[in-house]
Amino acid sequence: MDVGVTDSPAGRPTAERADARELSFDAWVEARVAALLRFAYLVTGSQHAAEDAVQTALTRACERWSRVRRTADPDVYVRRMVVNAHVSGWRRAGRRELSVAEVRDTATPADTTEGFVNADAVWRVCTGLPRQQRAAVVLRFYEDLDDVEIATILGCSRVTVRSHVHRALTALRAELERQEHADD
Amino acid sequence: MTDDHELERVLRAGLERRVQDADTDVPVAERARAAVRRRRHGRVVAGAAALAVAAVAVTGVVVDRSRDPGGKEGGSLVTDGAADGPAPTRWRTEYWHDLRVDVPADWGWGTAPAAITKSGDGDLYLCGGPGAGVTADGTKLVHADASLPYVGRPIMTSDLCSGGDPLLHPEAPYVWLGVDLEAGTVELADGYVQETRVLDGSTVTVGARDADLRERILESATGGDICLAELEDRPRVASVLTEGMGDVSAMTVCAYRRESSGYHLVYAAELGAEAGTAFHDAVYGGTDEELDATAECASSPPAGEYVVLTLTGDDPMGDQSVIQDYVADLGCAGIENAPGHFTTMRVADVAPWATGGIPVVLVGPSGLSRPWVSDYFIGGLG
Repeated sequence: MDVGVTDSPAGRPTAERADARELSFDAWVEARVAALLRFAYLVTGSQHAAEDAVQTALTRACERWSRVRRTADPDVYVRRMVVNAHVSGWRRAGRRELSVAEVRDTATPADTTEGFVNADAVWRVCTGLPRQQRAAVVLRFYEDLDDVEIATILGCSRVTVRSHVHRALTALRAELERQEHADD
Repeated sequence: MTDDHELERVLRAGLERRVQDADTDVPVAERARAAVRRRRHGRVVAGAAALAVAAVAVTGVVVDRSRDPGGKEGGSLVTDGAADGPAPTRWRTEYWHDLRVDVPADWGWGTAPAAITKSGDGDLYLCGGPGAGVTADGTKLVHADASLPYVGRPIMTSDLCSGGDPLLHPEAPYVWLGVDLEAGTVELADGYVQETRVLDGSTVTVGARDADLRERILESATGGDICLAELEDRPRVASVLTEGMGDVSAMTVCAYRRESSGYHLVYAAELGAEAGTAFHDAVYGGTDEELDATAECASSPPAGEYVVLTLTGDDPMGDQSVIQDYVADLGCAGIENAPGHFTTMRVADVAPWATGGIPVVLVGPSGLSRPWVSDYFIGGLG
């Protein structure tokens, strides 16, 4: 497919990204859907919830594509809807699944024990955060967005974004310290 | 583990590791396209009705409504007036069933006489008054203050009831809404005169020394306009704004209690951007545990009290206003923020709208034994 859109490892569109105003919905979505699913998975904490949120957002984006593609960045629009779908707690009937701080077998041979344990701690902290806070953490540390971009997506102020991130880091520090003490 | 950079590195690595679990080989784009096709087909079937496009994009509860969206900020009017003592200069609007009436803005809220079924004598008893149980500035009093003017509704705020003398010797002017009295005028002690009129099946009763004040209040009584007066069934959220809402500009509060025939409006208010924003932030600010804790609300039996909360705000993707309804189910102590999805009611969800007369109108969440419940609602009687 040649639509001029590529993904960075974290799922963000790179500088090679073409002007979305010239893209069809099909071309845009084909290039972006995997990244959106990964983003939604981290925001929602569950595969089903991520699929629900992305499908809802894409449905709306498809219906309004002529308008959406004229925005500065359709990704912002869609990610905002993904976050909103989760923050509002909306689920399609019959597809409810709660995220849990379960330990998944995702370790590779190169994983260190510490890295594996820390990753588990990160996820425990994330799933315990209020949903908007968790979304801010994912946007900052997974999507690498700055305060202004995050504030635009979350529909809040930059001060709120900084507060969300600070609280999340504080919670993670406490969790890692608790973990260290437990290991002693 | 105190270094911020190391902490951020751990966080990034943890998210990167976790995201490997995500299955991205799923046909969500195809599902989205199919959903769009179904919707478009549905629109064609709907035919000409779809041409009636509203200027305001609406998501609503499953009740019909006719509202005047151009309402007043804070439910108060600024007009001239007359009263017992200094003439009131600010007025607010009170609602009961299909009735609205303007009252001086510095009057509090309390209870009004009601017929107690068990007595069987048809006499009226005052259970919790007389006087204001909540002052005009929103302070809830431990005991009603008989010296404070108030607006009362026939709702028990205490199980200690009295009749006769307190009703004949008022210490301050009052408005009673919906009290089972016949139209007419009664002379009370100390120059007070009580006058009752019937309008749209409800009564408005004013007790005051000042005839001009009585007339002004009674003349203001007319049909309600911001909430549906009666619901056949419990209210439910019908749809949700998938694009969310930008800046919140207003919130309308419509409180209902179950009576012998359906649910009737017992209180309503129009609140401003501050209250609406606070509610919006609270509803979406909970943890997973809080936001998913009350799914049983969807299947719980009908409760006695519901509050429909309607936020008006900016469309993030357009220049129209949008509205979103929420339903506070006081039976199961949940806030319905999307069809069939409830969150646990917390003080932050309640504080923005359980203001004005709400603390003496609604009993509140029966399933929550939280200390804050009695701050915002009648709470357990005693």
